[in-house]
Amino acid sequence: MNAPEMIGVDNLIEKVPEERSREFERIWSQPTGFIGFFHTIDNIPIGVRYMATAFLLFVVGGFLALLMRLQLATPERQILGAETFNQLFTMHGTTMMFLFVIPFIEAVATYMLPLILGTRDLPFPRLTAFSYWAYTFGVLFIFSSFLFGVAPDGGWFAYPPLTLKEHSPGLNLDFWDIGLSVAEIAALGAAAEIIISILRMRAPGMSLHRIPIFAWAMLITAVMIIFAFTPLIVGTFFLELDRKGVTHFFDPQAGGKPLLWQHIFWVFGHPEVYIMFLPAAGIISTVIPVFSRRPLVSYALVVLSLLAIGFLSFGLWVHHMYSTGLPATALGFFAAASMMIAVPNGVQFFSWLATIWTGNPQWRTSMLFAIGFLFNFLLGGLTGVMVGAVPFDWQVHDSYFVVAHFHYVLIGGVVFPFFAGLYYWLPKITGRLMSERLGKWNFWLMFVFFNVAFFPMHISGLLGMPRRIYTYAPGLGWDVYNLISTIGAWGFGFAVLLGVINLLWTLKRGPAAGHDPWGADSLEWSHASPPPNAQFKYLPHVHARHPMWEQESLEPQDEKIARILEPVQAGPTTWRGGLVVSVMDAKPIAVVHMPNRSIFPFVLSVAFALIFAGLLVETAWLLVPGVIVGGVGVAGWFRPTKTEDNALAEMQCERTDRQLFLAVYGPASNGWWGTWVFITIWTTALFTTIAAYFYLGGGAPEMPPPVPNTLFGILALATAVLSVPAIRLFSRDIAGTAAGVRWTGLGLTALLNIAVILLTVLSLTQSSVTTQTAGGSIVVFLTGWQWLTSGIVLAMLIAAALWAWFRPADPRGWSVALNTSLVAYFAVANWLITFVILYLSPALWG
Amino acid sequence: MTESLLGRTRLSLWELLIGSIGGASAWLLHLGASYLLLTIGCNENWPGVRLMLIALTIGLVAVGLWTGLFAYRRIESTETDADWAITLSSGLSRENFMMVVGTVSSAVFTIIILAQGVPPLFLPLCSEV
Repeated sequence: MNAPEMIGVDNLIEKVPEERSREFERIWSQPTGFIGFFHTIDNIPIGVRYMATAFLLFVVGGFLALLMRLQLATPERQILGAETFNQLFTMHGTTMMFLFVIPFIEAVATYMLPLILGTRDLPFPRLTAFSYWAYTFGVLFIFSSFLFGVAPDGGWFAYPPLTLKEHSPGLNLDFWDIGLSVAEIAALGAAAEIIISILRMRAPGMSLHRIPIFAWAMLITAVMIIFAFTPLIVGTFFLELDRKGVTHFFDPQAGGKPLLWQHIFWVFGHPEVYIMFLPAAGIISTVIPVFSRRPLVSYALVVLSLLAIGFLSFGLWVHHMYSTGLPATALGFFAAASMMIAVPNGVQFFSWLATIWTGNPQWRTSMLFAIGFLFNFLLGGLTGVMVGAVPFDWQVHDSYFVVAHFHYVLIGGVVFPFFAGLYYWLPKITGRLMSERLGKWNFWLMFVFFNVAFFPMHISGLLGMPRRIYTYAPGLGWDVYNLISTIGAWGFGFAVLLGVINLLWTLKRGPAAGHDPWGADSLEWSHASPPPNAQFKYLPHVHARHPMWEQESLEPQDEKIARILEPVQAGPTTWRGGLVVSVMDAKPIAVVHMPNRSIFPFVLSVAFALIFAGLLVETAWLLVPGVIVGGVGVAGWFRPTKTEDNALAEMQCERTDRQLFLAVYGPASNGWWGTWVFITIWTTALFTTIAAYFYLGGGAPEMPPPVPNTLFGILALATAVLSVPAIRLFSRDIAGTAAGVRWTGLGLTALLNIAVILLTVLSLTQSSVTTQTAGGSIVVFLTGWQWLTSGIVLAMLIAAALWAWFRPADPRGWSVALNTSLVAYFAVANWLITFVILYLSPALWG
Repeated sequence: MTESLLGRTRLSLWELLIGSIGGASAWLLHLGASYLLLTIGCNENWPGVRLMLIALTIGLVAVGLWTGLFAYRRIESTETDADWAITLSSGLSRENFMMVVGTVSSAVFTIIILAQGVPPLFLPLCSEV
């Protein structure tokens, strides 16, 4: 397909009066200077920092691997001791899995998604900045362990009982546990942003069947992050509490089960593989059509494949546990699902091949990386099907065959697409074209040395070489394969360095890229390169899947829509406004206010770092300042701003179908959607804990787990149910409700939540439940979860009360009240479910 | 059926949800319920676990087939003017797109439910390996 004349958004901007245009740019300008650096919350600068930090971590993680390969090059080498080797393989895995791949793809999404979707920023810019800073502090936290000589050394999977205090007494695993929690919270924040962005902040007309494949992949990935990362956070809480001696979830002597960790970890860990792979597949589905000069073959089936992989990935976790002693039939269920996931992957694969086959391929560097991906991922996928078969897995479990398999999947299937994406999108980000000559060297060296490094590992694995050994005896037949792997690994490292050199050369000397150097099809290419901070001053209207190929103009074709969109074309000019559209059809609905700068995301992430460091070394000297700084951060984050006042003065908040309105509260507002994402995360955590409750109880000597005092439990339930009418009172429409009624609702809800906390405390203390057993630990944890939930409700009620006191008629106050009501209702449901589990279900255990 | 600014939407949200992710949900339910049934049944020595697993598979295969048919019946015929035009946005409306995805997805997930229904027919139920 030949790309038509350039139809960028810049020519549309000419339609805007100059003064209005300048005002718009001023309101969207970035803060400058040293202090401004910490105030920046916009997707473009934060996205660049995020990408740079994550890429640096890729280089660091890779360097750790090169050190390991030096150690393993020949038998019985003593460059690294066993303990150092343990630390290196733990930190290599942790860095690559948690600190490079996921953050990098979230960084790319942070930068690119608004451009691809045709919107001005992500829905919660402060959360974007917070995610970045929290991630950075998490990284610094984990890597600071090297300074103290206590780097994590229990593997990136941290299996107990090895990782319990008894066997790992140092702070090594505490650094891992706590640092990872911070980074995971950052990942959840970014996932919430991505979901709401894609569902609600697309260009008008970009209905579900016109969403670019990369955005589809990111949407499914972000949903998977919510459901996969939450169990891991719960699991790391369990592990840390066990390590502190508070609980005994994994301690067999107290009725705990180490295998519980494996279930929780792999419920996260297997989807994690696809969380990394799906965005990579999205990049490939973006790059191949552009360089084949034709649309992707069978868009609908590729979307189906992404969806199917997203679902199926949650049903495969047991294939990491084939050798742990499970019923044969259960293994059969998971083996079947493991085999079947090859089907949607195959559909995508054939779609890519058919696109190239029927297109007119141009062998630019980006396309070469995509082709390299096809080759490497095919090998990784085939060995994946092999290890999905139970008998074969038993033979190669914990051997280098598995190391080879997952590196083909993760480097071949993820890093190669990342490089394809880098070469494809960097001209947009930097405004300069990368060197094709260096790029081709970069590709071919990476491709050749990758296979030199990892293919021999299949053979050494089949010859019986186990994973994670720091040295080996000569004469076992592994020597030559290890030497070849080491040569390949260092060659691969050199090839990556060549890519870095190309990047640096590009930043200094690369030729100007222009708007659309590839003749690509999606909206990011309608903008200047690099795009201005005030992106999409004139919002494009989409009525095709490939707007840059199929549309003659990005202007609305319908006068009615043009009229509706008029207020947001180069506007508003006294506050930042983003367009909200309907989920299915991308019908323009409303405008949301977006903050322009804030130091408080940084402040809050500092608070997190202090609190988590305080937890690590168990000192109030860090915990107390952390809580105070956190309080300041939260208060500053949610305080009303002048630009919000401007927005309220300029636009009406009442919903109407005739024109755009200011979405402040209710389902039209992003805050309402964000609250639902939070509730989803909280529900996932609750159900993870409930699953752990039943798992710990099943077959345990302490079966069923102990029951807390039933009378107080019932009283707590009655109290929680009583709060429902109170919640209804304070969440009523502020226009038609007397202040006294709202205050009564707020006060009663707060009192009843405090009562629930007290009654559940009494329920525990007036029983024999103790955290010295595994059953008791899970009962206390589930009850504690209610305290945390009710505590959050109380904090939100304070915020709603402050609004009701200082600005009783402000719609923002009602928004806080409505969102608080959602969480308060959830708190009631939380206790109802917990009550059934803790107090009633033991009767069914027999 | 509702009206919207960008055209008529003929299917309700529930129809779209059932049609597009009904099959996948049936599979998730099948895996979760089968694993739970097997684990509890083996722990508690329940009689007839094998029969219950087979019944569960038959029931959820039926659900998968029904959601596939449900989605298929909601695809409106559309004409395309070129061999590969179906890949262009002009080829499918948003609702047809969702129902095509749903039909194929239900077929795939029904096959997976069937595949997961096979082990209880041949393998020992509760013996750990």
